[in-house]
Amino acid sequence: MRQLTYAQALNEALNEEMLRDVNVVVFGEDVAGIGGRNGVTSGLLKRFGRGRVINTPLNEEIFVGVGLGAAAGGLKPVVELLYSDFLRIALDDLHRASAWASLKDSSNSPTLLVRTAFGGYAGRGPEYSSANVSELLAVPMLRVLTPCQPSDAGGFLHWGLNTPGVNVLLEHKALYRSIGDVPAPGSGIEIAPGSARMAFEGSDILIVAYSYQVLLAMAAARRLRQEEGVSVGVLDLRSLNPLDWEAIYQGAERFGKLVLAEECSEASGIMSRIAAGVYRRHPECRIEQVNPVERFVPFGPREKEMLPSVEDLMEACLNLNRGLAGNDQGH
Amino acid sequence: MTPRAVPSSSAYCKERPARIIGKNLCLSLYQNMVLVKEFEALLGDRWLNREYSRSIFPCRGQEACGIGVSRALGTSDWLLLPFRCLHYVIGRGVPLERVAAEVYGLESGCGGGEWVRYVSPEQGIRGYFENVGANFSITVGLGLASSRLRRMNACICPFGDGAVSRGSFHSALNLSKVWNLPVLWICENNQMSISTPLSSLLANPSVADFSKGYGIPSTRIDGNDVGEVYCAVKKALEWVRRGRGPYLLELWTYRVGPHVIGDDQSYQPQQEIKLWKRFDPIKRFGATLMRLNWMNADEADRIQEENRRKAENVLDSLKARK
Repeated sequence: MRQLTYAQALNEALNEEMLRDVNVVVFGEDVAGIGGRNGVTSGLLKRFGRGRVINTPLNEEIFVGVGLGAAAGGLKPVVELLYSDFLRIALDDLHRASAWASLKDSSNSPTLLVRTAFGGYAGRGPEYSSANVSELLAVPMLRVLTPCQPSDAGGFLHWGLNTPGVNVLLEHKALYRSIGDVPAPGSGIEIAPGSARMAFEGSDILIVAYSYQVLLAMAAARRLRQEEGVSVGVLDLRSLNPLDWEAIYQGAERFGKLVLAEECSEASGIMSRIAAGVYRRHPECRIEQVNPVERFVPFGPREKEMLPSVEDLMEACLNLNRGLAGNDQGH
Repeated sequence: MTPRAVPSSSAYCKERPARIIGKNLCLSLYQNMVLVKEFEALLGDRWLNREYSRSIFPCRGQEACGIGVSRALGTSDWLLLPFRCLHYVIGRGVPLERVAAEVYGLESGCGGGEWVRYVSPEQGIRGYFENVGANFSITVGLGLASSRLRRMNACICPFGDGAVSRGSFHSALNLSKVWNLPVLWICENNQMSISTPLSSLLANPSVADFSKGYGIPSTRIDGNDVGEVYCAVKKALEWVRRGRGPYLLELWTYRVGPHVIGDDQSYQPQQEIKLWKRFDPIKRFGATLMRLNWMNADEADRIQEENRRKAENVLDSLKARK
């Protein structure tokens, strides 16, 4: 185990995959010379050459289709869309790629990995801070991966490049410099999405979250333990499709009080769906949901006011304990 | 109304391409075109009898485009097809039983019956999407793979004038040139996009001109002359396969038939249809073959009868199965 940043873990995984299979190619805007705007592809051009690390024009409307064709033609493409906001532009191709991958008559099952920088909390403003996931989850069979730990980020990159289908890796932009333990290459540790993990142990209330929100939830849990003596656990979903419903149901049963928190509005997230699922199975479980209201993320310090904060999560937990009805518009 | 340009040679196709191709192949191309026409005509009847429910987009009047292109391709070339594609599918050699089964939505069809897709990896047909412009980006991807893996094949993307109005056309053409990919772009310009004429669609009615804007060499040819189409494709493939980058062929033709079986074509100017029926690709090529003494009128009749019967037998056997 070594301590690496999220970006370094991704970079290392890419290096390994490109070394292992000469058919892995990376393309996207500015991925070559400058190693990507977030440094994830740094060093790859020098090591693997211009034929495999390719700067593209600004063509998100065709990137995913190009990736699909490349995969169908025998390559293993890694398509980078700089910000997850641009996935909107690629949605048409994403639908088709997912359809192609699902059809039985495909002469080979294409594997397509789409990587993008997701979410806010980084001061990028309304056009580059999207945390919307529902538009992606609306694409049938599209896999949506939302790692928050560096080990998961690297592990999911390996998984996404080797699992047939269309895999979208949402790398949270505020996490690129976060540090965590990452298994050494060749350690044989397989990291796959589909199972949630307990990021923080607790016994009274469970916060269910994914991506950056997990870190906020952990901070909230620590403070609640210290300041209020409330024992709060945190469940990191790790991926939204495949989604670990079992872990969510077990959490509902065990804790009886859930706080569902995410960075995007109710309409554009997954938590409302999770709340409905939990209610059907465990109607006795009390649920509080934390979503920002529907608005575009503003520039500057107002971003912090709009997006969920540690205090918002703490407030949600305490509301549950006080027996107050959940505010279903978020805060 | 904008006058629509017509091919130069009127009632005959050019003799030179036919001579280059040779008698046997010419007769084979002629037979293919007749088969497409007869098959689609029968499909039209059977749709009226509700034997199948699928939408079929016939290529009446454009048979030379599909047959000329698909017969000129090599065995390792890759093709992505749009919705008006039966002339490519049959020209590529996909067995008629499998094509018909696909129309009828049976599992034995070439797409497996789950969706209806005219794909056939054995004949290099890698994909089929009805959404206009869906194939542009995928073709670039296939070209990237071909180029990277040094396959020495070409990736061919036939599309219509309607698809040229899609943004992805421009992005894909540009990218195919920037990356110097082995892609052959084939515009079957039939001058109609369902009910919208070419003049309402494109500021420049010549798609070959667009291509020049992207630095991609292009040629505009008579799409109703199967010999000319065949030779032009062969020549373009040489360019593309030698790694000289993409090429665009504009096949100038006209959609004499309906957009989809069941469409009454009431929006299409009747004089135009009448004019273009004189340049019917099958009639013209047949006339040329007869002039070359490679075929006579009796043989032409026989070919028509044979292919009609062949199509009928295939469809009858499917009807029985359903």
